[in-house]
Order: sequence, then C-alpha cells, then structure tokens
Amino acid sequence: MEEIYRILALKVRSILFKCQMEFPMLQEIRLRIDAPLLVRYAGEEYFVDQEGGLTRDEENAFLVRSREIRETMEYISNYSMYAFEEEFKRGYITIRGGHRIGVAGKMIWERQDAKNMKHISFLNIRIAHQVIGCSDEVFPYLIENQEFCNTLIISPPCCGKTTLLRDLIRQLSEGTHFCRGLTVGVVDERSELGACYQGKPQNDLGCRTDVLDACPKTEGMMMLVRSMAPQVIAVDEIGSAGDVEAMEYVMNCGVRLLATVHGNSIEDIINKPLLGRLVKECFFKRYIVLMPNEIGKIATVMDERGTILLPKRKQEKASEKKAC
Amino acid sequence: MLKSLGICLIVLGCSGLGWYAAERYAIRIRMLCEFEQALQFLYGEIEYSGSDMIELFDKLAFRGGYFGTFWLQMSGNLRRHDGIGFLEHWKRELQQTDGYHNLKEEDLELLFGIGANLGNMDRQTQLHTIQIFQERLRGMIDVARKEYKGRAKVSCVVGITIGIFLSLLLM
Repeated sequence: MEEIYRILALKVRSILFKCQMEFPMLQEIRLRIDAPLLVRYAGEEYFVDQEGGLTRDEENAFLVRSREIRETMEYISNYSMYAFEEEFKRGYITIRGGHRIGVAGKMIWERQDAKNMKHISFLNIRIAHQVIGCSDEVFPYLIENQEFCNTLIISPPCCGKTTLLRDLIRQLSEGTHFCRGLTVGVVDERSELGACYQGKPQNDLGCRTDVLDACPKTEGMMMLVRSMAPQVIAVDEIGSAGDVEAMEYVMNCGVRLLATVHGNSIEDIINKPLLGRLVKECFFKRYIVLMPNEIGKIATVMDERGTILLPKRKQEKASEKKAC
Repeated sequence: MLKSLGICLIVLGCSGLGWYAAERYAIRIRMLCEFEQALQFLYGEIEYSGSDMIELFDKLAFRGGYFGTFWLQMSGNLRRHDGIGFLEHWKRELQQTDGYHNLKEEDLELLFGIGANLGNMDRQTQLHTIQIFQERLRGMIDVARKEYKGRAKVSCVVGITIGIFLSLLLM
C-alpha cells in the first residue's frame, strides 16, 4: 500500500488514507482531470468524498484537478519525465511493487510512430496483487507423466490471468510434489509478471526463473531459447503473428510453453486466424479458461481433445471420496 | 616596539581583507565551474542511461564540492514526495549552499532558471535545454575569469594601501 500512496498527490493521498481500505481488496484508483476520484474496491466502483468515505453519490465526490495529476506524475516519474518516454509511448508505467499506471493525454506523433505524450490528464493505477497459491487447484492438471504440458490460459481482461500465470511460473520454478523444479524463462514485455524495478523482480517468480524485462515477446522468446536454455517459456497476452511464429519456434525447440490470451472460451481462440491454427494442430495440451466477470475463478481446464479435466464430474468426485 | 607590532598587525589585517575579497571572486568562478561540470554530467547521464533526477543527484552528491550538500539535500527532498514542487526545493536548497553569498544576482538567476527547466520535458528537449544553460554558464565563467585577474590585483593592492594609510594615520 505504501508504494501506491507514495506516488499519489499529497491531497489525494490524505483522502485515500482516511478511507482505511484493505489492500487486497483495492484493485484500481482512477484520476481524471476535473472528474471525481474513483476507486475499484472489492469488485465495485466507488467515488471517494473529501472525508475519505466511499460513496456512490457523485456530487459529494472529491474532484481531481490538474494540480493533483501533475503532482502525481512528478512522483511517478521521480521528477524526470524524460526518463519515461518509452513508457508514455506504450501508455503505461510500471512502478515499484509491480503496479501498473495507465496514462492518457495528448499523443505526439512523428510520421506514423508515437513519439511522446503531453498534457497527461487521465491516470489509471492498477494495483498488482501477487496471490501465492492461486494456481494450486489447476497445477496438477498441467502435469502429465511428471512433464509440464504446453498450456494456454484464456481469459477476458481483468479476470486474473496474469496473477494465475505468475503463480504457475513460481510453482514450476520452485517445483512441487507433482513435478520437479524447472528452468523457466519469462518474457515480461509489460513488466507485470516479475515487476522488475531497477532490474530486481518485485514478485516471487521462483528460484529457477530468468526474466527478460521490457522486451517484446517475439524477440524475447527467441533470445531466451538461444541464451538461457529454458525448459519452459512463459509469456503474457499473446496474439500477434510474430508471437505465434515465435511460439512455434519455441515449441519446435523442445521448450514447453505457458501463455495467456484474451478470450472468453476456446471457441474464441479457434476463431482467431493465427492462434486458431495452433489450437487445431494441438500445439497446446492444456487450456485453462477463467470465468468472465469473476476475478480468479476457473471455469474449466481441458486437454487438447476438449476433455474437461476440471471441474470434475460428480461421479468422479464420489469415487475419489470413496477411495479416501 | 609595540607601535611597530601594531602597524604590522594593521597592515596584515587589511591585506588579509583584500585577499579575502579577491578569494571571493575565485570561489565564485570555482562554483560556476563546478556547476557547469554538474550540467555536463547530467547531460551525459540523461543521454546515455536516461536515469532519473534522484539517482543523478545522488551521484552528484557523491562527488562533493561546493554543491555536494545541495545535491544530497535535493535527492532527499525529492524522495519525500511532500507536496512541495521541484523548483521550490531547488531554490530553498540553493540558498542554503556553502558559498551561496559568493554568487552574484545574475548567477543565482541562471541557477534558478536551470531548476525551473529540469525534469519536466522530453529527453531531446531536456538535453537541448541543458546545453543552452551550459553555454550561458561558460559565457559567465569566461567573463568572471577575465574580471578576476584585474579585480584580485586591485583588492590586494587596495587592502595593503588601506593598511599602510591607517598605520600612517595612527602613528
């Protein structure tokens, strides 16, 4: 919580401090110029009033002014806007603790490339939560004959796919009684998985993990295969043609893959022209589908033939109980 | 015996004052040179590593010198995120720097101007701005050096002359 408060303008900080929010429940803080201060807390959106109370009444909400945005930006950038040009081009900054701050304002374009951003007026502070053990339920299903299977996590945005991926990386790297620890290479394009701050991962990714921070996925996967000899490569939010090509290269090199993709179901992925081909050709052996609108809830785990491994059928559950 | 000792003391004291005035000019030049080197360092680091101001001020503080405490205090203040702006910190800390009184009004204006133009622009503009301030500082240093030779000599001569004059008057 300290890392979040530190980067907020003094006034916003003091108001939020009065809120006494529980950190694990806080998901998002939104600052928009001349608009009410908003937080997403325990899955619900609230305005914050002057006294630090959470309310649904917009009229009583604290209005964020340009001064607060400017001050927050100074703190986020350590008074060094020039040091974050690349981040502004991408539209977000990752701060200590792995929290991601989305920024929006006026984009400056040079020819057809984003050059920088000015008049930053909208900030979205997304609070990262590392949930140790959140993959315990699915992990055993990703192992076959003590070998990790190529796995694709399918989830709509903001449903916990990155958190699940992070914990799977940790378990694979540390090793469990289902499989021994594996060397995991992570291509962390958005610095969300390891949340590296000055080169040091802020999240626990396990002792056998190498992190390639702020590196494009396509190049990063190839680089890791060539340089770090990983047994598993993990990437977040795949989708481009380059990503698919790199994944094929990785899998053909005998390296296992753990990836996430945006979608609601496996059908969504099959309908994607590039990624659909990989699904049809059974490149992935396991699919984890997360529930839409419910953070971190697993809808299903299935294998390449579409056999549902989780949730188990009632009969199987009963027989397991009997065996116990 | 006592009289001659008194005369010697007066002459030495006045010469010392003359020397002190000359030394102030020298300190001013040394301070401006040190600041110009700091700007050169900032330019290089921003261009090469793109490090943030706090990190760079820490590195500058490690070098010491007249502005050593200034850089150290600045990095400490900026880390506090206390609601006070960069420029306010900059001005306040500059006024508390050792040897601040040796700087002229025009020097301070330039140094305040540097503070107002650090950290709030994109890299290319930042580097360009630093370069402009460096050039202005170099110009000031050149003028100060030219003035120094004459002024130092005058200050010492005036000091000694006043000492002799006072001794003659008291005799």
